[in-house]
Amino acid sequence: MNIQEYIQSGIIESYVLGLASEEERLEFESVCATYPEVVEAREAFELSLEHIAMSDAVTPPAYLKDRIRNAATGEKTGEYMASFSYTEDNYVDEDQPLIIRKLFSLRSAAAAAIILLGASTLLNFYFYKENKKLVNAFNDLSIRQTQLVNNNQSMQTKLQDYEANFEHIRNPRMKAVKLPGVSSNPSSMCTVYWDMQTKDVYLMVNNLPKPAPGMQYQLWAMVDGTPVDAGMLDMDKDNMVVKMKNIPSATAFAVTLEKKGGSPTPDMNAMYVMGTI
Amino acid sequence: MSLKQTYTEAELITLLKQRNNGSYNYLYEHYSGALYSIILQIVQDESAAGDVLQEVFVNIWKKIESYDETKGRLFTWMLNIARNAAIDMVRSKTYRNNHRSESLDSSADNLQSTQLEVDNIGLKKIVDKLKPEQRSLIELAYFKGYTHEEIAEIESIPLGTVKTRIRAALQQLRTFLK
Repeated sequence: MNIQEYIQSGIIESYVLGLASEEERLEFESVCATYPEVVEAREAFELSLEHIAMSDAVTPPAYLKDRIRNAATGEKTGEYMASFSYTEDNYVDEDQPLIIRKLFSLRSAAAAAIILLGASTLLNFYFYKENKKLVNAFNDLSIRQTQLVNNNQSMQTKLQDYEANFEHIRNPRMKAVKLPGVSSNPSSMCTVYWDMQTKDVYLMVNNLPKPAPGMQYQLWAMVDGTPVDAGMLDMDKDNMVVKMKNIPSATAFAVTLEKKGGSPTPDMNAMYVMGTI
Repeated sequence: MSLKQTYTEAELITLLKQRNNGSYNYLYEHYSGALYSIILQIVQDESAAGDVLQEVFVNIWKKIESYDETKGRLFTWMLNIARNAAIDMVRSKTYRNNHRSESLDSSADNLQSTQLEVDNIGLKKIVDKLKPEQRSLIELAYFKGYTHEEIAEIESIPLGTVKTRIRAALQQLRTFLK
């Protein structure tokens, strides 16, 4: 190895300034152990570096002096805790004296606890409000869901009724009797479906004016020239076909408007529709 | 205990290894300014630099046993502790959070106008005499602590070129220091 070249190569400066790689450092140290002139050159550079550093020294702020002595030599004073900053994360050194780590961790823990408490309070409040909103929304939805279920049930019932009614009408045993409007109510129209086997009578309203309050339509069957009560028509239920009374035999059917609950004999002046068999 | 007392380096080291409080006071009086100066050149923030200086003295006091005088002078050893601690500080989350809004260039400009004037002191003053391409490499390697590989990536130049340029820059630095 040409030692002069080695000395001039920049390795000395690299080593002293802490820029050399691990490999270069080990090599340099072993060269130093063999060649005193390398050590001499190293010390010369170190001294010139030290000289420039010392001549351009910047006196640190006076308050640091006690704080740093306390931190370094482990003396305890209240001032140390009060004046410390940069306490977070990677700044805590595992190798620091126990007392310093304790102070660190106490202070950090207290600060962290306060911050966490604050954050937690805010979050609690936020979540409380959110939760309240969600509970309200959930209740609204529950109510609407119940309504929909009820609607659906009533629709199902209605549909079943309609289907049952329709079955009756379709039944070949069923005799349909048209009851056209009489001269005083020409636009009215009803149909009687009469089961020839069971003799049950069903009434379908094709068109009847809405009855006045306290009034109700009544179906009559003409049996041997006498009107017989065949049942009251409940128009509120909005049924397509309403089951009336069982009539074993009849020659005609008629509908009159009677007072609610029906009359024993029909008011012939209030006849709306009539049809003979 | 008089702070005016002077020690030879060998005496100081012996006393420090004995945890002699007087030697600590001497150490601080004698070297804190030079170490604070190098820390300021890297950290460029007085409050953070004070914290780094504290860490440096804590480490010197604690690790003095591991100091090996055959590998270099006491000051060299302390200077490297200070440089490493300062670079660690600049890279710490806390520091970066506190300086997020400032770009490195503008913060250097701002600080130049304050009493810090870190570019006109110590090693920075010497480094400024280098040719620009050498200066930027020394800035990255010494003051920012990047490895040669990182510098090659940052500057988009081959690793071999980084090494030769840094070596050349260091040789140049030595002639400036003499």
